[in-house]
Amino acid sequence: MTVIIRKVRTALQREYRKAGGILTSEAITDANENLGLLSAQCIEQIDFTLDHVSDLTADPLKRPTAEELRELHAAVNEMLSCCAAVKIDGFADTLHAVGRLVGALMAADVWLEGALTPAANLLRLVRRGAVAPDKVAVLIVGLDQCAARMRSYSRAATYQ
Amino acid sequence: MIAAPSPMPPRINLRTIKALCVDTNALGLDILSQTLLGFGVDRIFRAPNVEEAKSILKKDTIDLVLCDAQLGEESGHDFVRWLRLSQMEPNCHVPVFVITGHALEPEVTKARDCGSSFVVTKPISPAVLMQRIMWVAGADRSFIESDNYTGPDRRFKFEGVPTELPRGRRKGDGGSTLGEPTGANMSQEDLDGLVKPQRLSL
Repeated sequence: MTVIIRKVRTALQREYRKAGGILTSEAITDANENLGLLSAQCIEQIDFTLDHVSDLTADPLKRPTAEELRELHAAVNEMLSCCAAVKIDGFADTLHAVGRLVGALMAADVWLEGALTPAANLLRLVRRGAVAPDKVAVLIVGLDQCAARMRSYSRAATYQ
Repeated sequence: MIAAPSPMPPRINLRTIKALCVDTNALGLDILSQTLLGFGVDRIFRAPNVEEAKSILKKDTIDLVLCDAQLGEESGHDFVRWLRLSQMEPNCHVPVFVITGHALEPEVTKARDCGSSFVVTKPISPAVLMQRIMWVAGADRSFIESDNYTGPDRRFKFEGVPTELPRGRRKGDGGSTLGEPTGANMSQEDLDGLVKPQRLSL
């Protein structure tokens, strides 16, 4: 096997320390201000996406199709993008946990009745600020336990 | 060895940098581009899909790419792999940050192995992104081209606890010598139990 190791100096490496730059602290503040301008749009997008998540998980008896699981995965990803401009206590952590659960479901063929219902409900409650942060942490552990159980039925584990 | 990043210098100059943001979500694109605008990047290309991103990269020289890991039908990882293998100089060597909402180990490994320079988890924080940009700009990583991988060097040499002091430099560092075992060795049966799937009832 041929391996070529090159020393490449990129434009970013050449330019980032050139004279005339701005203070990094100011750059971060400016970026945060710019993101603040997007917060209303982000809240709207989060609420819209939450409705979509609720629709996809409405029937606890039905396992979402592969396409629907991909949509859920993408929905979580989109809402996480929005969290850059909106600070809702515990919401990003809940989204990460829901992402882990959906990921585990995507890798497994089984369905535990209502596996996604608590996840969708928790997202709505945390979005509204109806759950205290310490309670959110406990409920996230519950979602992770469900994800761990799904992972034990994953195709990879089954055919090992 | 890849040197540890130097302390963040107080100034950064990204005025002449041309950046490309790739995200299928319009608001996601706004978030990436507004963050870069705040950092002083004036020339930002926005691609709402992989096709457009490829066409921009074919036409223009890009100095920094921020790319979502999920790009609709295609994954961001495939896009980065395409870019690294494209042989479009100098774009194929451009620093690429993959932004992911799902940071489980297999996802991060995939993002690393497609040739990205850094993986950043969502939600993006300007402070974290700035730190990562400084790190990538300041680190002297080689570029590797092989049959199985093309991209920035993925190897990081870990040299263990500094040995010039008996217990390292930090309070939490342990000694550099190995102590006595604290328990009995595991039996083969125990080891098998760790790696073989267990049957569970629903």
